[in-house]
Amino acid sequence: MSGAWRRWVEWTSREGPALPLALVRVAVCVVLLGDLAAAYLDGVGWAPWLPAAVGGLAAEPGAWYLDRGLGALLGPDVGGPAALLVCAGALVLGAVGLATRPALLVAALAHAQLAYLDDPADRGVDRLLRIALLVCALGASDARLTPFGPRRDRVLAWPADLLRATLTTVYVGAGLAKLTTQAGWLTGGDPPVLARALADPLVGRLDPAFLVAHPTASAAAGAAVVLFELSAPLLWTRHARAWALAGVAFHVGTALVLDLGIFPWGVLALYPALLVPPRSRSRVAGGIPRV
Amino acid sequence: MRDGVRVGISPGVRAALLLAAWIALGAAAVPGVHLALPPFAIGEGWALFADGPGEVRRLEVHVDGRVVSRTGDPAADWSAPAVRNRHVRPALTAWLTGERGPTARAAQAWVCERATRAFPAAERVDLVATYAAFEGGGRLGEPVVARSAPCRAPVPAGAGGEPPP
Repeated sequence: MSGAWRRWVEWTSREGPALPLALVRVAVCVVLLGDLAAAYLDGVGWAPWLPAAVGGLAAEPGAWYLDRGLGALLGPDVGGPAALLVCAGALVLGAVGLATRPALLVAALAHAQLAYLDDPADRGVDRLLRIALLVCALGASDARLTPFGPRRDRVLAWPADLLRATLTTVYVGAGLAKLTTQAGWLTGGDPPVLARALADPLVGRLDPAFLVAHPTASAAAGAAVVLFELSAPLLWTRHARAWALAGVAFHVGTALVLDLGIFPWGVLALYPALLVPPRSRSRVAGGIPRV
Repeated sequence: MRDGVRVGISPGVRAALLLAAWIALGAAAVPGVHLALPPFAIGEGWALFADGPGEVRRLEVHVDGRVVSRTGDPAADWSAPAVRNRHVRPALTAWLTGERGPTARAAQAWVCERATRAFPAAERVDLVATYAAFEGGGRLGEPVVARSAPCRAPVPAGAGGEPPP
């Protein structure tokens, strides 16, 4: 066994505090439940998950959709609502910590089925949260914050590491996408790209006239957003806490000025994972095979 | 076991699986790379909010010629929460940005049917897309009328045309 591989095995076998992953589990479930509840409260009803042929918004169910068997088995107007109810029920179980791991797996699968129906609305944050559901199902997210089962204070840290890596990927990927799509994020543009995003009446809450009248501030803020996203690898350094605080401010600010649904809250739901130190030298669990 | 440690795989196997997951995550950071894991639909593309729109796009709902809903207009906010909900908005946005496929048609028909239910005495319901410059100066091009009641009738020739470039 090479030194690098042995270090990797040791690192992925180390332990960390159990509470952060449990917090991620609860937060992810609550955010997804809130998203489904918002659709109901906004008067959307089942429409995103019903085929257009029966009055819904789902134009073409995706290729999987349990190989289209769900709709064929239950009927086109039942498959989507059934998947939604299963998803919501599994999320409740996952949040309270009852039958946690199977519940989280079912929730991820059912939510993916909803995504195949509601394909246009399945965004990066949905995929991020499904990853988190799977990571929580495979990790020991049920060691805390549940009245059911024994409590553990320390668990394997790899789920938190994986979520930290996912967040890093998301931010760096978003920063690179901005640079490759529109260089105006750094150079400004006329009007600046950020100003156009914030003033878009479809999602924005700010007055377009105000933003256009202050192009320098908008351009500087746009460049700051890109630099912030590209600096996400700092999450693996001693500056991680400071970066995470900036991230919280960024997402709360985003929620205030943009109507992006669950996006800011969905990303923040993963932030408790950052409470697990990435370079902990805590005791190694499970035993490391000798060379 | 509850702690996720002793579930039947050795630390070496776990480390190998995690290495694969990390490589996949790293690849997904590259723009244009999408990795799928059906049936979980984990197709990673993280182009979150990559660009701003080129013009101010608004959806209007006209009932017998009267504007009952206009994007971002509190004076015409019929059904605003539903139209703005993140599970509805993307399909309508797709139409506003030029898509003319089944997704956009389904969204138009859905809004149209809501309007006909909310205004049962209406003789005509139109969905209208308007475009304006961020700098002001009025509309860009002519409004695009996408759908008139009956909501799921075929779109007349010439309707639902392309938005201005």
